[in-house]
Amino acid sequence: MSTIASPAAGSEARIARRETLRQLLRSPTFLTGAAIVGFWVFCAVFGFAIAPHDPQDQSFTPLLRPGGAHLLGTDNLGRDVFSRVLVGAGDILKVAPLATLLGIAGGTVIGLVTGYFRGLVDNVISRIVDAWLALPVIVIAVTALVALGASTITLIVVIGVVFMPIVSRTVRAAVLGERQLEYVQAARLRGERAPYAMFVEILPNVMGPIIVEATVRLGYAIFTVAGLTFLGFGVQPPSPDWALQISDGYSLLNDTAHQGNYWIVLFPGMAVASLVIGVNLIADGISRALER
Amino acid sequence: MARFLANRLALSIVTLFILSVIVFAATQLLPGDVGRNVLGPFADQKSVDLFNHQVGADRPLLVQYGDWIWKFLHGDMGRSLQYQVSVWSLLGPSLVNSLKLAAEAFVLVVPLSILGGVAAALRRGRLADRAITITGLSLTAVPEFVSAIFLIVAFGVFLTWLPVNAQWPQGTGLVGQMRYLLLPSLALVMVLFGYIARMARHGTIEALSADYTRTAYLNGLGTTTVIGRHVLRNALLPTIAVVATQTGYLIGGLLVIEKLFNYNGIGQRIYIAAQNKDVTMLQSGVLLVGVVYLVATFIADLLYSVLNPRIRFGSVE
Amino acid sequence: MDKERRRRYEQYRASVAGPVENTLLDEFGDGELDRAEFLRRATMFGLSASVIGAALEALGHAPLAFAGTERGTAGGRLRVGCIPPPAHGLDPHTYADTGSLVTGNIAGEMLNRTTSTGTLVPELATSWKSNAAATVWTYELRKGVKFQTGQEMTADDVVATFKRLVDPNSGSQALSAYKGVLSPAGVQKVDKDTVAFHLDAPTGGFPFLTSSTTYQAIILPANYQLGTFEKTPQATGAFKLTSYTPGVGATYQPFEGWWGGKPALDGVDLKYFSDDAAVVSALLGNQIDLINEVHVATGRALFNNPNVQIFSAHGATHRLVPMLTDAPPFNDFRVRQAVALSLDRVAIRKRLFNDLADLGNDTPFAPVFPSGVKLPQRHKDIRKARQLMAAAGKSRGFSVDLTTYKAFELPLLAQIIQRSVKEIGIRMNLKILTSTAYYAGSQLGPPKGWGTTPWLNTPINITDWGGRAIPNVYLTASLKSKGVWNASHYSNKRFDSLANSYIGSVSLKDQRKFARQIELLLQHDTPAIYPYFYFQLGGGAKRVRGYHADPQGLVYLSHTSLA
Repeated sequence: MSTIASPAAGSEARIARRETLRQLLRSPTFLTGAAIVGFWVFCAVFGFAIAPHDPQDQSFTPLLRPGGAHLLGTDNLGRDVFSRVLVGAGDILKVAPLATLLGIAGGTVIGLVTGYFRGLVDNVISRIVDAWLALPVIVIAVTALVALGASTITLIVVIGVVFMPIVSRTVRAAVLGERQLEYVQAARLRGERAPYAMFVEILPNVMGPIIVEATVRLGYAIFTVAGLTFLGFGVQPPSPDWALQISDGYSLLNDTAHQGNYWIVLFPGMAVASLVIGVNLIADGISRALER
Repeated sequence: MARFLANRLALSIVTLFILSVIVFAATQLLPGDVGRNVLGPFADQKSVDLFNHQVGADRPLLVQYGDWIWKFLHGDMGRSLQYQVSVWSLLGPSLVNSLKLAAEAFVLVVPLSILGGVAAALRRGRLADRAITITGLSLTAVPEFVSAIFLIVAFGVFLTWLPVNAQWPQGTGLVGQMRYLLLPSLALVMVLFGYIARMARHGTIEALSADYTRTAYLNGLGTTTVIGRHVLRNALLPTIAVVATQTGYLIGGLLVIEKLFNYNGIGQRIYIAAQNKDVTMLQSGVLLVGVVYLVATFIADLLYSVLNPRIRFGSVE
Repeated sequence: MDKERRRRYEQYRASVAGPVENTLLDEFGDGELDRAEFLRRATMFGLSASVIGAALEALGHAPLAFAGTERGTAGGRLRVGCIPPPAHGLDPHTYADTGSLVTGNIAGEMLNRTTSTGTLVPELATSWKSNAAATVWTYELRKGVKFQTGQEMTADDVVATFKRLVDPNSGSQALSAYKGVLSPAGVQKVDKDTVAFHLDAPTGGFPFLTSSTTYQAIILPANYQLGTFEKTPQATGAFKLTSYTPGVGATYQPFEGWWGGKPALDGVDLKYFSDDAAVVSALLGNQIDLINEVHVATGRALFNNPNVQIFSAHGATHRLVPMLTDAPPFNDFRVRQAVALSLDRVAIRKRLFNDLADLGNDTPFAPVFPSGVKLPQRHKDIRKARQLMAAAGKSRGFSVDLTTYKAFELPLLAQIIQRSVKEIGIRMNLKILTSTAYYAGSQLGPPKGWGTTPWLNTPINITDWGGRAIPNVYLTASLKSKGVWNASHYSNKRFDSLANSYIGSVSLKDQRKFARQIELLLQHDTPAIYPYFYFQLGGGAKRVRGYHADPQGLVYLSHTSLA
């Protein structure tokens, strides 16, 4: 996966980075993704100011069809769906990136340690990682959230911890590629301490795969948070969170006489999908730019 | 080969043991006790204590773990704390159900996405490629609960073409069962299509530019033959890896799909066991998913080496 | 009224009827009860159909029409969707959740049965009557009833069943219903066909406690072995439980030896669901014929669908919003009143139940209880609520957590309450737990305290309460100072003595006297808000015949058929 060659001198590295950035800014994939994600970040921050109604206002007629005063209709408590979709990214955009950050940080440390030391340490930790990977993410997360209770903090920690072993696999593979290289050997011969070698010598050279992994993980994190929220373990009411809107509204969908009240679920569903697509496009763009 | 197999097996056992410890430790964090969960809030504390005592949930942790692992090693998964019947009598059929659903999903998605992936690769950069890639990406981005809900409402409630509940009535034949599983399988197809198609596309592109493909062309073989013989195999390779890694998710991770389609799979069993602190059921269920996952990755590795002669059995890296 | 009838009626009043029966007949004569209430109480006191009919006629009412069981012509197997699945084994005395009580009660029967209108009808007992003080109740058993094992039912079986139900060490879930009412020693056999219940305290509503209201009270053979209910058919009902798979479903076959004859259905297939939308979709998609319980909030599609019929039973099922009276911020009754006055109950009922609910008035006396008194309905009054907040020194409001769990319409109600109290300055944070977490932790009960469990120890919460045929448990358990489920930690000596007086009174007049004082006191103190009492609803395909909703959520299919 890692195509980054031996460590360049400081200036070379800077040039390479600038080159990567330039390629990114020219990549339509990346730019589209950034625009979508940027839009939702903007809405999450300023949505309350630009939304036509208070997203919590329950004073409208419930279950109005889209159109007229309510662009996307109203939900079963009489709230404006458009306003709720606009601000609905707030919680997921807090939880998912922080969980990803935690997962990447922890996974990187585990990956560096196992990849660098190998031997017994690697064997023991890798077996634990294997065991962890044998379990579906959602099962671990649900069990943990049943145990710890759902709150923003526990949600971030649980998803972060669940991601660590997955991230560590990628980082370990990248480190194994680096470890044999001359500069690492040289550092060893110079008698550098292990942490220095790992974090100062190796880490900068495996940043590429880590960044790619981070963007991919972010997409999964959004997915996981949404799934957990749907099951009742994630973001809590009365947040206008998209998955929560879907969870509250999907049982109204089989009402054939009322067009299935489709707007309560469809629009937040599209919003989640667009955010995930945006993140995936960014991931794609970055990984292509780094590959070159 | 034998050494490789033995090595793999030993590691798998270690992994499973660690898994059992992790699961056991996790279950101890669960809130409440099985008696209160099962008997409900209005039960007398006395009857709750009695229930816990009857099922052995009030014994010291290590005793409970030792008892469970001892029996598990002897092929006895114990009794479910909440239902008071043997765990296997409930998990067995659920596991079979999960395998059926996963199988149907794979049967649908693998040919479809490989076809899509290869087609995209052959028309790289052109409209067909874009269309397939973007469709796959968009489908993958829709959370499974959203696609499942719309499939149910569209095909089950409005059009009434397909059954909305995946659990077939007793005595339904295999073809009939497949009809019942079609909607949930489609939901899974939507999740997996983009993923596998992407891998297949990637593999095909690599193969197309590889030396041996060029050599084959130079040797005068027709396009169809080249694609059939060399390229498809390469497109399949990454697919196998995906199938293996997704098995765990497909067997145990479909809590949402199983709930929405009212399907008695192993995911539901685990979910309910976690909620009710049915420790024996939870532990056995999770371990079973772990076993299935390890077996699947093992088979995938074997297949991989068969299909790709360049890889020989070596160290377990 | 013909002479013969009148003569028998007068003779009954003079010689057979005790003071209990005569008081009831007098009260009906004085116009204290309406027809429906009279029927409820008359069947409760075990008055025979002829006496009830005569009384109705004597007072110029339409004659008694016992609803003939409308039987369809065709049989067929009925496919029932049951939500949620049973949480544990099927020993009847341990039923605590909807899934198990539905599963067991398709096969099982009680001494008598509460109907969807709240009257009692005989089942395995043919009649019952009390002594003057309502402390001894004597039941005549039906003759010729066979268990599904083939053995005949006798008083010994009934005695064994009830001794198990009231035995504190049997794991019985009916203990709370019989607490302070019946102990093992009080269950006595009189002869082969007669059983007497000697109560610990006078209880006018006792016959309801032996009926389907106490859904654990399925009569089983004296030699019943624990844990065998799902393996061997051994109840008395029209259907035998022939297979059961936890979490998946159960099947039933007709019982040839049923005392009631031959049921119309050829069998029942019960299928478990854990998702409201899935069970509703299954009915709409014709995969099932009947749903045990539907809710307006999650089953809206059924209520305006021409192919679906809705079954409805008035009941006392409700949501309780208790506020901790022994800690700030709700230790001031004015604050609690203010919260109660911030709710627009009419709008809530419309929004969450499409009006299929009775308005609550912050007392447990649901409109279905004839013993209650109708006080003026509490409505939204923000001005008064603000005044109360100001008087309590809380005009600037405060922050508080509202705790509840994810089930039914509870999260929606929580969001409505949160929005409502915002108007009087209360900043409410919602804590929506899983049901497991909400009910987890100890609940030791006084004098040891209420333990740690969230549902009894949070400043304000929402809990779902099942229906009861009489309000006694609501008063004793959730409001009396030492009540085990007193989630308000409410402690008021005057209330305690009023509650005791109410439960001990036999005549409706006395009950109403005390009920009125209780209701006034509770409205003033407002230890808890009772926003609504909703109807028990079921849904079915149009071809289902002869089915009625049950106030406790049971599914009774003995007289059901398919068109």
